[in-house]
Amino acid sequence: MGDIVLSLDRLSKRYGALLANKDVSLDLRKGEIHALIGPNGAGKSTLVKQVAGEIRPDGGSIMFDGQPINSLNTAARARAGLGRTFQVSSLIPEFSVLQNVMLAVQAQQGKTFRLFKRFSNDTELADQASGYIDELDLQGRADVPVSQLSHGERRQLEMATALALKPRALLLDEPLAGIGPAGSQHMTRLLKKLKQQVPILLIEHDMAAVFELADRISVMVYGRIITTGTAQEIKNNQQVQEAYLGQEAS
Amino acid sequence: MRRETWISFAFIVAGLLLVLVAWLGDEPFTITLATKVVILSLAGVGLNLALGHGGLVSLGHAAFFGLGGYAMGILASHAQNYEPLMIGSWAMEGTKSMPLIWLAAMLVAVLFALPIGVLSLRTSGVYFIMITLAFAQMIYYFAISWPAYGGEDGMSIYVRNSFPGLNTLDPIQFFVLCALILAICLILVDRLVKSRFGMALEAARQNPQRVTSLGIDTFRLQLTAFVISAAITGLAGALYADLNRFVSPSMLSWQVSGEIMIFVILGGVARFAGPLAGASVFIALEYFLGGLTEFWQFWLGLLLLVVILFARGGIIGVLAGERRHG
Repeated sequence: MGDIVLSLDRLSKRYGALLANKDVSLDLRKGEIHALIGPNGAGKSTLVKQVAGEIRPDGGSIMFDGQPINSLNTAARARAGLGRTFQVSSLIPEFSVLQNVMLAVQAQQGKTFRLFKRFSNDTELADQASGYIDELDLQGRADVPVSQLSHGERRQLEMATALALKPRALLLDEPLAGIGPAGSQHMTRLLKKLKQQVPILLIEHDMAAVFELADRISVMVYGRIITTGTAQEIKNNQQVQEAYLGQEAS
Repeated sequence: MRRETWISFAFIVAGLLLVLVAWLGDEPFTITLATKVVILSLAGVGLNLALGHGGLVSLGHAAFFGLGGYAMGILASHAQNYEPLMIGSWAMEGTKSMPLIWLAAMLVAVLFALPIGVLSLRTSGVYFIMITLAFAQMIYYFAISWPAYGGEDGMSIYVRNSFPGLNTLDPIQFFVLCALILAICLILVDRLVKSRFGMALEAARQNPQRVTSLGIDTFRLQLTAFVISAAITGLAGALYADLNRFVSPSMLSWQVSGEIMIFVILGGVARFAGPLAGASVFIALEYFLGGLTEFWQFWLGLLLLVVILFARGGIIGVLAGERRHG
């Protein structure tokens, strides 16, 4: 079944009376896209935040590359190779596309505390960064400031910075949200290409894209994962149709 | 060259020409005034690193300015009274040597900036402003109530400290010395903010979540910037005390923190020559308007208001247009 890169074992998170995640277990294997779907408020974002290290689980453990990472903070998890993008795109607004990716390359190299070498003349950084920019189809946009990018381009740029960290797993929080049908198709193509390099845990609302992309799908309802399976299995699952797809279909 | 570089360059040349004219015309007062501008600019260059590039709005930089001043005052007073300086049971000679005093001033500023930074950087926004202010006020009240070095009255140093090969009492020689230090610090800070470190710091100001998710520890970035910033402001404090041959708790007061912040904002936040422009205009207003009316600070306030409302880039921003990175 392939090697497991990321595995969550019975993660739980409670906010007061609200049980946001209850015994959530899932794993991510090399070469796959594992999609997590579920209605709004099901607890997907809470799960993402726990995996990324922004909030601490109340119970359960997270293994990444065979190591427990519960005690690592967000920055340390990123250094360990857990890349992510955000639901709302998160970039350095005053920097250009190239500078955003260069910053990620520099972070990956771990040489941020070089105090006097000029950043903008750093061809080593720029060359590597350009590679990622090309890979995400942003060539020709390298010197454009982030504030002038379209929404879809920002998503692509986020993906480029995530890749520049040479991650061993990617956590993508709604990468298709709000980028329109054409952008969606483009991004779907890019994601298909990407999964060869790095396994992806995909949180996404766009069902068509999920069914096209995902090798496995987990469905979360009220903080629990009710089932995991291939696109076909999920489409035919009675429980899922009632809990989730049924709502939209009816 | 970029427009901002030209403007900064022209600004510095104009200042130097003014001093040259004053020197040829034998007007030591003007030279001393220019020296004051240079030293205060240096304090602003320090704060600009933290506030402008790091986004760390410190209202406590008077602490480092004053600590630098006291480092000078304490070392020089022991030297002039021929008393050893006792640190615990360890006796140390005082000194009148500027290079040693500068080193001590920066060291003291760093030693204070580390714990202050560690504690303050746990907060952000208005809390950061308040906590840095609180630390500075603690040091201010300590200086007032500590009788050994003049308490509230401060203390005088009778002869300006010495620098090998120079007569520091000659206004033009002291000016050149201060101007050289300012030039060195300006270049160092410029290199720093354009380095990998500087870009990461800049990025952390704009979007700390992003920088953290790249695996960069923003706390370490900001602490480093804060400490370097404090060291530069501390050095300026030692020079300022030497200019006046006097140090008192007023150097530590929150008004001084505010004034250093005004230099930065008036001149242009995160601009190379921003602190220079800000301090020049401030001192010019204080001197010329202050000669006309007691209420010169009203006009300063009005100017500051205009800058904040209509010209976020300060004086340099108005002249050079929007800021670019890298």
